[in-house]
Amino acid sequence: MHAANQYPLHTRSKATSNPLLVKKSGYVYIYTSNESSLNVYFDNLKVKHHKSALMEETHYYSFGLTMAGISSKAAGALSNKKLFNGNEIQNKEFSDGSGLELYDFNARTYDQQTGRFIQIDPTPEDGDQESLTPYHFSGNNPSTFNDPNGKCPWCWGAIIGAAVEYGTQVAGNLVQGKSLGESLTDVNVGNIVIAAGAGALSVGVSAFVPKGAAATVVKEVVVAGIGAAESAAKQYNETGKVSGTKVLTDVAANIVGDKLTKNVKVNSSSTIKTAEKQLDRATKIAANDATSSGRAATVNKLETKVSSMNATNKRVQATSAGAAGNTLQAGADAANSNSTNSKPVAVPAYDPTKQAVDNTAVKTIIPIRF
Amino acid sequence: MKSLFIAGILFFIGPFFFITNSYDKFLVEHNGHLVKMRIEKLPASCIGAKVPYFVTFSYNGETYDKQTRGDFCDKHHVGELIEVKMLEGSKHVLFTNESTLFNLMSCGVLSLFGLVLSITQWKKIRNEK
Repeated sequence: MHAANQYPLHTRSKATSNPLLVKKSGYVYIYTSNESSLNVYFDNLKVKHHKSALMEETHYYSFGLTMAGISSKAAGALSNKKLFNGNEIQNKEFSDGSGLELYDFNARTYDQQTGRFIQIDPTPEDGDQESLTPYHFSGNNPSTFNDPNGKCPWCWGAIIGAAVEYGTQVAGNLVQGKSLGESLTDVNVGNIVIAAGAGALSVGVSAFVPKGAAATVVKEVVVAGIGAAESAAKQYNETGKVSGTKVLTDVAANIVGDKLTKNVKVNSSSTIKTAEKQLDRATKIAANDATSSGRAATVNKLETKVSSMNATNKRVQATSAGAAGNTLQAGADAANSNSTNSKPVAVPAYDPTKQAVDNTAVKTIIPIRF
Repeated sequence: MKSLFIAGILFFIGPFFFITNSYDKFLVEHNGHLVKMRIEKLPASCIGAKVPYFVTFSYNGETYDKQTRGDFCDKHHVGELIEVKMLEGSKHVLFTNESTLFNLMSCGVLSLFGLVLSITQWKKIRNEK
């Protein structure tokens, strides 16, 4: 028989090695096996779960006041400013640690203690809410409704939807070679009405702030459903029949387009102009100092920056127009075309010995103080 | 409110410019006859609910552009003869199962929407003064 000290103790704990860090809820499966020729006894096998400190737990009354009795805050933790409805709490402004305790709802400031905004509703007549005070929150019924940013969110949906559809049709007519007058009037009015309805619904759904994963899924499904209905209605209106495959393709193209443009920053024309001015200046400086490799590198860096900004904007334009189809179409047209215009143009390498041409496109010079 | 009022006016007036075309299509549907036209130009694909695509037909030496969508681009090819409805003197052609009543009604719906919007906004502007 073995002596007691012949049974080695294997542990994976804080004291002996790194603990197994579990970052999300789930199950842990423990397998025991013997890799030696000796008999091994798995006695006293224990799995200990060391819970980490709860960072924060906050419960709210319907109007946003914190339920202090069942909310908690870990000692020494960084304070969380994004609270009710994901809005920033304005507190601790004063030197004694006290503050106004108001929420910044972006469009307006909200006092959760009175359940009222402190500024007047910018659109008090919208949504048949004239009978209520223009300072109310979520129709005075916060257990049913929500008001994520303090203003009526869907009022312009129909107008924008119709305007975008009309503009797209006019642009399509112009590309087709029709005259301006004909392009402006020869439009499919039925599709404009469909787009207006889809716009109103989409903006209304977008205003809904989902609480929890299930609500997020429902919201995504509803948005996709609106897109599908719009696609089907337009197909039926134009051709008299509906292709299910095309409806699914349209929905997928919309989702892909949204995801592609969601985190892409569009560069404003002034940002691009500023970068172009920097490039112009750097080119002139580099031309006067042909021996400096650092200055030539700066020019190359700025050239890359400007071309990247322009390329980003073009990508966003292509996607936001819907436009996986546009891109495919452009690609197919380019592939079918024998025109030399579609061939890539060779970009000449930077030559620091050449004098830079003045960028006459830059008309406004901003004085820089040194 | 002012911008909504202007938008309402535009929505009210705009459909009057579209109604001629919509009525023309309506006449093609009701008085036109079926002919076989040849497809001259066709997009490679018609993906995207937000993008209009055009197919060009030819018949008796004349060409006709028609907005299309769905799987039309996939199911047909250039050179194919397809049956469409046309009316002499009109530049519009219609697919055999296409209805134009909704387009005609849409002009009225848009105009009515514009009228209601502009009147309500006008009342609010007047009350503010």
